[in-house]
Amino acid sequence: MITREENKNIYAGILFILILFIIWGIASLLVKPDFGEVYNIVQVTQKMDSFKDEVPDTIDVIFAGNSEVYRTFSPLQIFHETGITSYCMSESALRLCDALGLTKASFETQSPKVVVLEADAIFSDSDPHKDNYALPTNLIEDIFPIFHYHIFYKAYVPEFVFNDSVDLRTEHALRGFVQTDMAVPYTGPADYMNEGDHVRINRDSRKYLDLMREFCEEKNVPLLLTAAPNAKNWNYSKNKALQEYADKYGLDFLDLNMHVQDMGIDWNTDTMDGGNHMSFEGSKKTTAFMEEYLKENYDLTDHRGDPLYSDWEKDNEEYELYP
Amino acid sequence: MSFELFIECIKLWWDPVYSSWMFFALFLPLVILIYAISGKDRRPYVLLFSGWLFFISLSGVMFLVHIFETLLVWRMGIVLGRISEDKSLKRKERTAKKKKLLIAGIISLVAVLFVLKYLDFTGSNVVRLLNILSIPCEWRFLNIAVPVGISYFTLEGISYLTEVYWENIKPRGQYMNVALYMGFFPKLIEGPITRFSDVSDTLFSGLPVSYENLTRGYQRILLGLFKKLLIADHLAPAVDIVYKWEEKAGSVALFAAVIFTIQEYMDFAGSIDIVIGAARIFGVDLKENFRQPFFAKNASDFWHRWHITLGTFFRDYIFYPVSVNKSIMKLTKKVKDRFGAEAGRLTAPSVAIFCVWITNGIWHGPKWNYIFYGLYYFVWIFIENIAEKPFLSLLSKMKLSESSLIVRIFRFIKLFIIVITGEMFFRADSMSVGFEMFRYVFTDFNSRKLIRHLGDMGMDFHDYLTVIIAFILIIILSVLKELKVPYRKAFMSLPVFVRWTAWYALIMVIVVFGAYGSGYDAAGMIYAKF
Repeated sequence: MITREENKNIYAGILFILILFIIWGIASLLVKPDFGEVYNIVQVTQKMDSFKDEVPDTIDVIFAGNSEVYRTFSPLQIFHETGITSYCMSESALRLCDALGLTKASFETQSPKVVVLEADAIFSDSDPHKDNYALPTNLIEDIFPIFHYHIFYKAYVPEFVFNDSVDLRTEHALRGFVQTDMAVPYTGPADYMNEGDHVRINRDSRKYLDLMREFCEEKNVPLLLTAAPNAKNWNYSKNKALQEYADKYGLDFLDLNMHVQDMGIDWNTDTMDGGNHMSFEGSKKTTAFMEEYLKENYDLTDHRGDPLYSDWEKDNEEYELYP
Repeated sequence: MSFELFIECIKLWWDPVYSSWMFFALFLPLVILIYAISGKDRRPYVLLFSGWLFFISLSGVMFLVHIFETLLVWRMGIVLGRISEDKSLKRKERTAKKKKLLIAGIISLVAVLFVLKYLDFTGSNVVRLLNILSIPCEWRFLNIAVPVGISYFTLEGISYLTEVYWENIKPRGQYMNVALYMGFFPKLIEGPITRFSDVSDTLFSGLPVSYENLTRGYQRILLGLFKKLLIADHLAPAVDIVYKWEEKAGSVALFAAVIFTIQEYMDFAGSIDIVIGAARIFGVDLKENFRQPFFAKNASDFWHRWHITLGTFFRDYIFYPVSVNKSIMKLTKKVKDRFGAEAGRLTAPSVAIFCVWITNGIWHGPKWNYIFYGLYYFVWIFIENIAEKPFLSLLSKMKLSESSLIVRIFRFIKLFIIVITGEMFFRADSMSVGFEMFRYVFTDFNSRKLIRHLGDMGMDFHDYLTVIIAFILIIILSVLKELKVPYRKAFMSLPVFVRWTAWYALIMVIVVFGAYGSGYDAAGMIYAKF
């Protein structure tokens, strides 16, 4: 027999939980991004904010992907040598879902002519709600996205102490490229393309790759798939998987690993971390190769001398990266 | 949520790193529900089988070790009880027989622990010693999987047998009682190390889930989550990075020791809050494991406030028996005759303290760092025991009371240095790294190096700020507790609207500022590995 007091307590308990769910629901509505589901809301929001500093409709090429992008392609060098404007919409360990979100966001203020998607993110985790570090909380993220986007505040509260870090200062000037002085030689086998396991594009990645392709089709912008030179994480198996995808949908695919000798990559000096990312010297070679490819294959304008793009020339002079 | 994701989540339950999350998300609510709707007689069985399921999910086949130990303890307890009641034997004979059985039981339990946890360590060190003596041989590491919580339930088994031997408790005839005592799931991973008499009135009674216990239990769990997710887990990546000891500087070493001490304290104390809260829901009151340790007046007092249940275990089952051991008494007499009364007074406690601390160090795991850590505290407590009297007479000469602010500040600084230095060695990858870190504090402090690398420690500015604010709040709470301010009573007298708002605010603070999900690595429980 339940007493009156116990009855009251049961109702109080249910009411407490109901109110808690309502609070979580409201908080979820407030923090869920309106540009689609992303994995790391802080990275994406900060990148979008810095990208908004660009003069509207001045960016021709969007480089999307993870750290491979901002270590491999330098927009300032491309502009300096060809007059083509570009931006690295990339962050460390960026997932494909976030690359898609950033690419979509870039079209809000700009009218890019080409989207270049670097492939490393395709062969990593791509789903916004699948997190090896937090799978159990993923269980309720769909119902209460506050558990996924709970670090949203970091994008808005400024970094008082560490805001003088090189990456943040140079974000705008270098258009997302991150310059480094580090160079750690790659000492593995020269035929690294034969190494590694057989891989396929997993289901999550394929889903976001399809979404990226469909978005570019909708915007009537060519999607160029590329793979940065990577002696640690790239091989023929990945090349084949991506080539098949590109062939199936009539996309361009430029695997820079197949042109390592053409570019003159020296694995002793051109990688910053033993083969995974390009060093600054390496990035000069890969960027030069990519800009030639863009120039030859797409109808892109040389903006050098145009007063609207004077910032680009000023930034190059200030940072003295490309004399 | 897709079915595939659900399955992946369930699979990850098998990884102890995620066990804490699964514990809240699924396991605990499910057990509470089944427990609540079960009949009074069946409730202890619900707890027992839940504990077994929890154990199997974490340790798989090694669960059999747990079963073996509980069976051993249960049977030996019964036999010990029978001997105690055997009036055909003389008292001396009974005691001798019981003693033999108790020793056999303890040796069996310790042997299992030794083989699973310490065999590789001992074997490899013996081989190393033989190699130094030019005797060529090698040790093949067995890498045996260690069942979760073995260090805790082994001590509980020893405690049960000893209490039965001392006739402080009656042995339980039902296996279920002993199995549930040693396998009650909230305390399975990290303790607190529980005495049978502490829980026997509640654990087997099948008490109903009351509103009072449910709310108080979850409130305690929230406090634990606050400590763990806002402080300990935020600090976890920074601790891992600084203890790699790649940025060599005294400032980095000191910073490493300080943040590890905070991380360890908040992780362990937070986990224990969760354990005590979860047990409370089932009407079981477990012993507190922490009592504001940094308010201690010396190293000895610190260990009366830090990991209390381990300290009291060693006090009752090692310190007291060793102190009154006949051989030690004889030694005390000899020392007293030769070196005077004061030396005699210190002999027995010093030998007993040595035994306690060497065991404490070894208990933490098969690493020289832990053994050093135990001996380190032995040395400090030994020094403090000797120095206490002269120190007190010095204070009276200076007309200072023990409770004066200056004495308290002095004691705090001394304790802080002792604890921080101990933790520096405790967490270091090896003894040589520990000594190198210690040396750098005095030879190359280089605070600039630390400042330069604060941003590269897996924590951003927001994380540091979160940790600092949360820790200040915990300090305030500790001060209130130490001063015995009845803050809980005051809080409970507030209108329900205010109380609920405060709880919602706390929950949201944990949800928003907690270190979990994207951008954070999952951090396991530190004391689960000991």
